[in-house]
Amino acid sequence: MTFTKTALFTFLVAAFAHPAFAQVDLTGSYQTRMYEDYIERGPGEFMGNYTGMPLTDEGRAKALLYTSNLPSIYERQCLPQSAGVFQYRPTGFRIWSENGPEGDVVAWVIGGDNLRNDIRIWMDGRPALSPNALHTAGGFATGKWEGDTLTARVTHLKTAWIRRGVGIPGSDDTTITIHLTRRGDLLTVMTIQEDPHYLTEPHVVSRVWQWNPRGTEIARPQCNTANEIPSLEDTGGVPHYLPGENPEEDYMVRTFNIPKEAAMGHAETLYPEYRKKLKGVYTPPASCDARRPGYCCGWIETQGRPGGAPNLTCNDGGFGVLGPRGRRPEATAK
Amino acid sequence: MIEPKGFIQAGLALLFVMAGSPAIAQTQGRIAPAAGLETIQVRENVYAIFGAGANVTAHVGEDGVILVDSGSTATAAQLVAAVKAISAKPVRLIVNTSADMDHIGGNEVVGATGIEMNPDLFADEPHATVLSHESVLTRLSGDDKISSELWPSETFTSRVRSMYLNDDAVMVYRMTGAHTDGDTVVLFRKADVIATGDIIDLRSFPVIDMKKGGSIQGELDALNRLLEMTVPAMPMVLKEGRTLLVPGHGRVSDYAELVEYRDMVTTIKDNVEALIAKGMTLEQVKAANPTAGYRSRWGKESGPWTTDMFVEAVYSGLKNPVKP
Repeated sequence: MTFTKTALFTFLVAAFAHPAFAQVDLTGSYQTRMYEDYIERGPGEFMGNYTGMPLTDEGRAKALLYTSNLPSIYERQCLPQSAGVFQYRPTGFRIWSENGPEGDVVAWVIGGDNLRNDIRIWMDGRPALSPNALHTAGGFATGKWEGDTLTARVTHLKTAWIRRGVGIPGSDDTTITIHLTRRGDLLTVMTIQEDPHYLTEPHVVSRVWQWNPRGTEIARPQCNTANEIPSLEDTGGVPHYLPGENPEEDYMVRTFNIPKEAAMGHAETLYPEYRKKLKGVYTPPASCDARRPGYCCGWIETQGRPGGAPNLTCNDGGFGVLGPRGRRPEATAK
Repeated sequence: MIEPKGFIQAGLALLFVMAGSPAIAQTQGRIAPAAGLETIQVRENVYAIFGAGANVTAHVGEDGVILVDSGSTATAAQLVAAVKAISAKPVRLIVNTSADMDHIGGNEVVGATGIEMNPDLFADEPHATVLSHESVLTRLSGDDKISSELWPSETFTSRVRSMYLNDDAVMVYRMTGAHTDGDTVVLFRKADVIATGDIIDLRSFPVIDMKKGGSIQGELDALNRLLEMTVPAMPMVLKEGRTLLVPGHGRVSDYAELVEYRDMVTTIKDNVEALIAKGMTLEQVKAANPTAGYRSRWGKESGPWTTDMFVEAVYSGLKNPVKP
């Protein structure tokens, strides 16, 4: 073998083994644009609302066991959240690079004060972790550039709820693919979550984030527990609904006339064709504002607040007549 | 085609290039595979060995090697090789977390490579001390098919047996009546690692072996006690500091897996309890699928421990609770 061939071989191998240089600098702080999924990002989703989620029967069953008391128990208050949940959070995040001695990018890191674990995307071609290795909230992520898009695959994740506050489950066998594409001051983040136990097909979320020139100084998160449910202290008790007894199972039906099968998260309901199936079946609640089709009354508790839909009366799902600020009269009177 | 000499040149050149690449430490070092087993370094002096039957935890230091469980008989020689790849020191102590063959099967072969904790000057051959709960010896000595060479050499019955070895506090806790009547867990206090035995099996619903004294209430008691011993990454949730768990089967884990496992077992127990309160028979309870939501992740429809067997163990344990 000639020296030339040796050098060529070395160059080729090294070119693939060595960390790729970033095509686009992702560094910076990014803020959410709240008009995307305001309800989800702000007050949180309605209980019993699994619309848009391609759940398996197992996923639906586990979601229906959920009560909002569960994350309040002492043992769960500081548990890490899903690596993908930042797409639904109201707060921003920061991206920075970790560089080697020659300035090459070893990893891109997505960090935020509510992530409770950074997602560290290794760019140095390191091998996959063993299946026996510890799973973490941020998982084990490796990335590569596809044109100007950074694509990462995340494995070794913890069991965690996929969306905020409604109990939609993700298992520890879940994987997430992340695409990061920066166009000027806008960053498109697409997450594609797959789960062999709880999703019949990938759960895809695409959001646009706004670069924040003032930066976001991340307060590194700390978490402390408190005894929020004294009756459970030292009992080992775990709050949950019994199968078939979740009172929120029909919440979307009672409140918005959404067909139960749509609310319960079947894959079919993700697609435009499903609207044809609904036509003639779905009747908007009488109290909805016709000028806001598809939005109905918004989140009940925000009525009358700045940014909330004004002067609407809503079907509140049987919880009483709402007052001028979306509260029950007795609560408003106090 | 690349000639051997050229290949070596290329390889050296490649190594030279890669030597300049940044190296950010993995938190979980992977040791080169020894004889088909996988070893993961979970702390500076603690290793988890996978593939030898049950998981084996190795704690190494100036006093020698402490093993939690010795795997199966068939893989004993491989386990010896894996341990030697970690440390040249002799095995001094093997703690058996139950009497199951995949936990005690290597006692003879692996133990024979070691030396007693308290060397017996009158013994024919040196052998590592094998410690277990008294019930393990009772089980093994009562089974004619099991060689006495696999029996523990030392037993205990107290709530905890504590030792100071390898500059660490080694605490062997009695948690009997969960998986079997011989369950123990081992806490390496300084290293902050707990070997849980089969109280946690991350592959499946917990194996509650009622014929060997296991029970659903014992399982829950043990999981809740483990929660008290296991410290999460808190309040500094981004830091790596936390108690690590090496379960009887399945991956290295921490507080989060333990909470999920405890909550899963508790929820299913509650579901079965509610169905019993409605007057349902075992078959009716099985048909009602009280494991819904967990069955896909944890359940098995065939093999030595099926979902139906787990439901039956929960049902029987609730109908006929074991008296403390």
